[in-house]
Amino acid sequence: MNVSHTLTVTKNEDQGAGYFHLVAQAPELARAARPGQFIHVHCAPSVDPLLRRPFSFYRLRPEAGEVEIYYQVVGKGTHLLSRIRSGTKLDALGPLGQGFPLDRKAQRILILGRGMGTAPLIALAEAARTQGTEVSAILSARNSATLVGDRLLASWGVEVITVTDESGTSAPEKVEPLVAAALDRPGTAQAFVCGSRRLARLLKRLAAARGIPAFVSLEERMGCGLGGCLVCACRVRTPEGETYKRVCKDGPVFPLEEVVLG
Amino acid sequence: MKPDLGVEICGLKLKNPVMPSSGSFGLPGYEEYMDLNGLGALVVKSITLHPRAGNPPPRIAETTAGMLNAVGIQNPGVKWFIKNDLQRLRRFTPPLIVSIAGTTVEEFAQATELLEKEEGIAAYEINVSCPNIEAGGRAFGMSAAATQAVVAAVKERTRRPIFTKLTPNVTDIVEIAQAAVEAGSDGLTLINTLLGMAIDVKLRRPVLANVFGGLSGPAIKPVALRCVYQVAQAVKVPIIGTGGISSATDVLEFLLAGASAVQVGTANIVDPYIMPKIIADLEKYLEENNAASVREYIGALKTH
Ligand SMILES: Cc1cc2nc3c(=O)[nH]c(=O)nc-3n(C[C@H](O)[C@H](O)[C@H](O)COP(=O)(O)OP(=O)(O)OC[C@H]3O[C@@H](n4cnc5c(N)ncnc54)[C@H](O)[C@@H]3O)c2cc1C
Ligand SMILES: Cc1cc2nc3c(=O)[nH]c(=O)nc-3n(C[C@H](O)[C@H](O)[C@H](O)COP(=O)(O)O)c2cc1C
Ligand code: FES
Repeated sequence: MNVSHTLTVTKNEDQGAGYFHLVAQAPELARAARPGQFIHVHCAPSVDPLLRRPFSFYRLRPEAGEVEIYYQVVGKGTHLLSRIRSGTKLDALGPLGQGFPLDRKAQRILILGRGMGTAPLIALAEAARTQGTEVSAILSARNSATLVGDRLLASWGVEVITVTDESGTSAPEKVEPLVAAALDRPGTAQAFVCGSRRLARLLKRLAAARGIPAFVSLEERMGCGLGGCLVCACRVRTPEGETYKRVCKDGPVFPLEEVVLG
Repeated sequence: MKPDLGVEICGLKLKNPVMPSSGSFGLPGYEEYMDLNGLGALVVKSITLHPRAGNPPPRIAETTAGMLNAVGIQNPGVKWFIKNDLQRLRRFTPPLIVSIAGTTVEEFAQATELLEKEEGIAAYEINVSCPNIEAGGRAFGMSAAATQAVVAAVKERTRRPIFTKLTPNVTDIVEIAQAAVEAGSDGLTLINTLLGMAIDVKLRRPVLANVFGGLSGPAIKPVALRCVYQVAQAVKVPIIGTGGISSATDVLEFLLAGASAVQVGTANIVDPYIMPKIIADLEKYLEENNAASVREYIGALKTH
């Protein structure tokens, strides 16, 4: 399979708080991609920055031939990306990695996201709603301006609970009862977390105690994005003992019980 | 007439001089994304006698026009390699070069013995130059005597050609190159990465968990060219040039400096489809410049 694509940017909009929403035409990619997978983007046609940058899909709209990402400007690559105008062509590899294993028959799922880590969970929630699965969402962020996707989720009929550092509601001991209650809702078949190791640890413990399959989307610095260079290591527990897996190829989505969250 | 891209190194017939460098290109693996049979040769990630888990992350740091890596020769070990990867890699037509690494001379020797029993391997690359296998970035390739000991131990145990891969992290690379050739190395690959580090000012920490890493990419091309040129002046064996190559003109620069073939590393990490592009561009360049064969460029640098 050829994973090289030329995206035509149709929108790249400042959302405030250093967040941007990018929409691009890429019909083949939009058809092939699944929630939880990512694209590996060359932010500028130059050798500085040299490497590509990974971004999860925020929305997939195959009927419009479009893919969307939601990103935060944090350094050189994302700064260059934020200055791209619509009409610009972007060189990207994708769809890469293993997506979320959404159960077709799930009555309800829980998504637990922190900050920008919520982005891939939005694509997941959309797929869940499309197949008729109910979604409970708990979104965490520094403040209300840095919450991602809360209004979009609400527009799909998702019950969204938001917690923020600013309002003093996001500490793990305060989030714990919310997650427990969400997991205990009848029909909750799977749970997904992204954007915070603390939340991932919390979900791992609570989901395991209830026997609910739970998954995390991990981030690690990447080179190739295709499994060939072995730089994107994450620690996992296997029957043979602890070892490293590749976030780009074996992940970024892993069963929570497998990953060593440190 | 189409120009001839073929080269021959130590009896290996390559249909073009472009191959991936060890550790930068998933072999096996990338057959999922492209046709591997168009490449000049296939070079696998360095294999050690015993499995190695590799270093903790972060293992990569981007630098100006380059990158540092500290993978730490993560690999499944030679037995697993033979049972699994080798079976898959044998199906492809380009000559297969197996890279061997180790922390002792004995490990190199034993890994060679196991590989020697297997079919489908065209040559070995002896990685005495990895900065990520021992603490502090030390490598066998930093000492002429240690290089000689490793090369001799491998040579004794094989009928196949061996390419010793040299490190630039030395005072005089020519001395090490000569030592490798004296010990029986049929060819040389140069260069491996330059030992470097990166610092995160905000965190006041090294970016790499391993502190040091190997610098690669466009930033190191001038160093690599210099090394190839110096060594080519001093030894008669074929040289595979590597370091920062990402275009057809880069390839020709290395051939002019004295290399007979080249390896592409970091450029694959940026663009997995770069090698087929380089090969096509190389053919086009030769055609436009009325060169009948790419071999016309090997060692053809004019210095006066
Ligand atoms: C699978 C995956 C999905 C992601 N999805 C999103 C997303 O949807 N939205 C979003 O805003 N961000 C996402 N990220 C993080 C995003 O890739 C980084 O913020 C981005 O690479 C930073 O690049 P920079 O040049 O701006 O920052 P710099 O700090 O200048 O980057 C320096 C180097 O570090 C790497 N790096 C820095 N931060 C990260 C990070 N958090 N994760 C991985 N590599 C990093 C860069 O890729 C680059 O190689 C994702 C990361 C991964 C691994
Ligand atoms: C991620 C990564 C892994 C590497 N692993 C190996 C290895 O296992 N064995 C080896 O001999 N060289 C290894 N190298 C070095 C490359 O093969 C090559 O010699 C070096 O990167 C210089 O070439 P480049 O600038 O084209 O990358 C590695 C390089 C990178 C970037
Ligand atoms: S980024 Fe190269 S293996 Fe994951």
